[in-house]
Amino acid sequence: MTCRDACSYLPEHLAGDMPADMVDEFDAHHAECANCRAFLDQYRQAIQLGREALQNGLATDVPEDLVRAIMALAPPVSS
Amino acid sequence: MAPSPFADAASLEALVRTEGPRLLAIARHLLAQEDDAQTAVKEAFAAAIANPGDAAASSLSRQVVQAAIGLLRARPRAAEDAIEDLVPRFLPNGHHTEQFAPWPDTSTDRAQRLSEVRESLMGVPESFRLVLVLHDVEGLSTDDIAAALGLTANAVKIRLHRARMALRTRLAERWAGGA
Repeated sequence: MTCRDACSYLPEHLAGDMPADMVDEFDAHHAECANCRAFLDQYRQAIQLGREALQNGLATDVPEDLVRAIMALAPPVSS
Repeated sequence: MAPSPFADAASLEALVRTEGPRLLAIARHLLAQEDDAQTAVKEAFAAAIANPGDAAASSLSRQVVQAAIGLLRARPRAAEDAIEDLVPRFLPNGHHTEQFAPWPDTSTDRAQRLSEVRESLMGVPESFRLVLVLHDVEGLSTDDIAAALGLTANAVKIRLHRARMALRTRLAERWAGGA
């Protein structure tokens, strides 16, 4: 397995659905290729950090103009 | 049956104030423009109000995603940075052309690091960032994303992989060498 092959299998590797006959080759390549280990680690970190950054960021109060605009969408209450 | 949160103005306003910030954050991630983000949230509530059975917060999330995708499709196509410059290159023998320098410890000064990640995400071309946000942040399946964007599931998987690699590259531009 080359670095190019290892890179192409990253999504399946992380999702746990890599073809069984490729798992040993993938692991063997990473055991001997420090550069691919570094890339795999950074690829993992990018996913985790991206998720954390967006889930934890930018959640501020809703602007009052937007609250009023949404409230105006509500049907009138029938009496 | 639980009363609809849209049954009266007070319940609706409470829902807007509790769910609105999260929905607005999703819309901002997808659209990167404040006016469009607020429009998407308004459209999501409009859809939910028109169909009170979809009032669960998860449905509001889906509706804001749908509204955001509609707004993105309506935008004029802007020229995107080439993704090819942001994904790994390989030598004829299949080895990486680049040596990947270590990153600093991202567990320290976490808030600053996450701010840098958000900035780096904006350096990922929009059509790729959209798939990454929908999958890795909002948790949509590749099949759901494919249906929403009119792509094949395989095209979504390829776009997601490239988006993740592009984000890694943008982060490496900041951090490689332990900066």
